[in-house]
Amino acid sequence: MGMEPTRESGVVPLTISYLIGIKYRPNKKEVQMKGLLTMGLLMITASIAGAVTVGSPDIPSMDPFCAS
Amino acid sequence: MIALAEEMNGPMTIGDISWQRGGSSGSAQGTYNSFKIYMGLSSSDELTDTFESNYISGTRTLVYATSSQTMTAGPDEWMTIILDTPFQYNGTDNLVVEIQWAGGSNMFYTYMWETGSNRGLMNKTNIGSPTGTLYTRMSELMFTPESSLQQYSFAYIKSLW
Repeated sequence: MGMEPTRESGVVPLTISYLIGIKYRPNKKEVQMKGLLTMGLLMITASIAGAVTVGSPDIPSMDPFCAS
Repeated sequence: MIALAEEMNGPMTIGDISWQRGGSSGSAQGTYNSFKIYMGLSSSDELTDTFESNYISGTRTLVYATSSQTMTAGPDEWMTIILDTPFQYNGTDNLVVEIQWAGGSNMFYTYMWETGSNRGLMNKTNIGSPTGTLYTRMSELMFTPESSLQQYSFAYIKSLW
């Protein structure tokens, strides 16, 4: 006759389980939180996407900034 | 000059544009008057000799303007300009970057590269001319996305639900 393990719900355990990928059965509210986390992480990822370089440093040139 | 879609790695809200100083050639600093940067979209991989016709109609946008622009950097360092108006690049069409300036001082050398096709267009004598001379080389450019962390805070995301 074991007792059900106590499950603490809320955004912190959900975040931890979500980030480390352990199995976790979220309730309805936590499913919504998971959706929020997913959207947030995606938006943060997009916002810190790196710079893009076009071309290569081949030819030192006075163009297009030549004001003699 | 024109950056191709496959070189841009998808859509981006361009917040900054940078040029890399060409080693220690020229001056470490140059100043350029009535300096403007335009960005827009193009459906062609090459430029024609007419500035305006290289844009998809309605996409040419003034993204930066100042009465006097100083370009300064150490050897091989990048000189970055933060745009007044971030440009929404769609990731599908090619990106046209046009700079204008009239008078100034010094020669600020930056790196260019040989593209193998007409991707550079310059008119060095008449800023009002609708046409220029085509070149197969263009500036090496770096585009940095605008940071949008503040705009998309968790409070904002939560308000969507």
